Amino acid sequence: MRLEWYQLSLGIIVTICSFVAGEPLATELNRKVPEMVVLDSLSNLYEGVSFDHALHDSYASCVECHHHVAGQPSADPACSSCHRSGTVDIVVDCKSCHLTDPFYGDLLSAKRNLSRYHIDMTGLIGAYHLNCLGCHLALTTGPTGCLDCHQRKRNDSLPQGINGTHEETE
Amino acid sequence: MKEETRRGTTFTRRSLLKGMVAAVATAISMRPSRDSSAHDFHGYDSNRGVLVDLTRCIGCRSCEVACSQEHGLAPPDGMLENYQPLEPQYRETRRPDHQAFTVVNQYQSPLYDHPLFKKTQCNHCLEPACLTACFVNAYTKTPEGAVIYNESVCVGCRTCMVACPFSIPAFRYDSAFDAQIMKCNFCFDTRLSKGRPPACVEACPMEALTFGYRDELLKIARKRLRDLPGRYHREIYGEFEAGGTSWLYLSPVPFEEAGFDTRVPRQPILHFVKDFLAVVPMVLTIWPGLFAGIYLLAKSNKTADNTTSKEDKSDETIER
Repeated sequence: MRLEWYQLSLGIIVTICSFVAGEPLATELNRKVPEMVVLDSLSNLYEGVSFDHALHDSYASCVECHHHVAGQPSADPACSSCHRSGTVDIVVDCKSCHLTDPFYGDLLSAKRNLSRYHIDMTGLIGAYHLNCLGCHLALTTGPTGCLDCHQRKRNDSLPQGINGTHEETE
Repeated sequence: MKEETRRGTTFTRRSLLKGMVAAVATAISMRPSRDSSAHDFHGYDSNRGVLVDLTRCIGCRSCEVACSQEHGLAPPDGMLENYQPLEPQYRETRRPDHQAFTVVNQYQSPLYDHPLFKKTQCNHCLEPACLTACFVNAYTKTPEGAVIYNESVCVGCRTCMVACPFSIPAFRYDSAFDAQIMKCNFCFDTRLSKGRPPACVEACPMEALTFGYRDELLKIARKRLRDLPGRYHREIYGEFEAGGTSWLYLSPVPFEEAGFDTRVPRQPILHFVKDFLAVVPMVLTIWPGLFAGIYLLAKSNKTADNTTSKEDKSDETIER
């Protein structure tokens, strides 16, 4: 009976300690987390996309978008085999890893290096759409139409525009 | 007897037959070298390609718009304002023609709960059937991987349209003075020759199209098959089809379910006609000389027979 009380108190102390130890990291992250993010890599064609980060924070865990750079180990076994413990990187924004031009010549040549593992990392546009639409379609909530996220620029007189093709014709 | 053999060295039936056998033997012995030289070609090392992932395509047809703008063609039918996958006009099966080098078709498979979208365009084969069928060399396979077409030498025979296992080359019938084959050229002049991806790839919002070196794309495809088991049908369309194509496909269902022709042979189309084609030069070069020779010999033999028949008869009687 006495032993059980001892075990219980030890358990409580360990729990409190781990909570306290984990607390500074969590608060530090929370402080950095922005409420709204404007994704404007395509802003030459469309208005920037307003992304409600706080809203998505309540729906999804950090790893679902930030993989292994936001303090938690990745859920994807293909990533976690190397990135066992999550690190908090200085930059956690998508475009620091997912390139706006994923098919430029030097990268294609670098991918031919046999020891390279990251040969199939999507570009920025692909990463956004695959992640956003993948979730929105699966949960049947959230915007899925083009203009639901991408507001057309007012002075855009061209009938229709897809990515870089407008620029080419202009 | 001695006299006869000496006469025989000039021409007898036996020496004639010997000569014929020798000629045929040389002709046959020349063939294997020609075959093996063609066998060794497995595509250029710098062959670029595109990996099409059907699990990613949402059927927005941005690639069609980008293609038509790049090549100055009429914009595709229907607006792409919104993502409406079940609009009826997508359901019919279209194929590339002189007004559209690429088309996206929708397929519904009982094995998959989403509609499937398949982009069709020239697959830029490693050993193109159109190229081998063309007798004026209007087609070129560039080291970058594109199969391009030169309208200035084309005579309009349209053999390439028959030869293509994917039914891609289209003929512009509606222009009497500017009739020519129209097909996807991998954006060779404007983009690929400068190391840039084709317009359709750049336009794809879902990155359903991945541009890169073909050998690298095969590795990427196998990595996806390995990392995401259950998501894909475990084959890569285009790895072996028609001897290998630059455009490769991954599908969540068996390929025939998504509108692919799985009856396309696994070896280059050229292999089916190579044995026959190898005989053609022999027939055209050796046969005229050979048969003309036989004819002339036979003719001169006849005249010789007439003059020497009496001598022969006397010889034979003596021997007997």
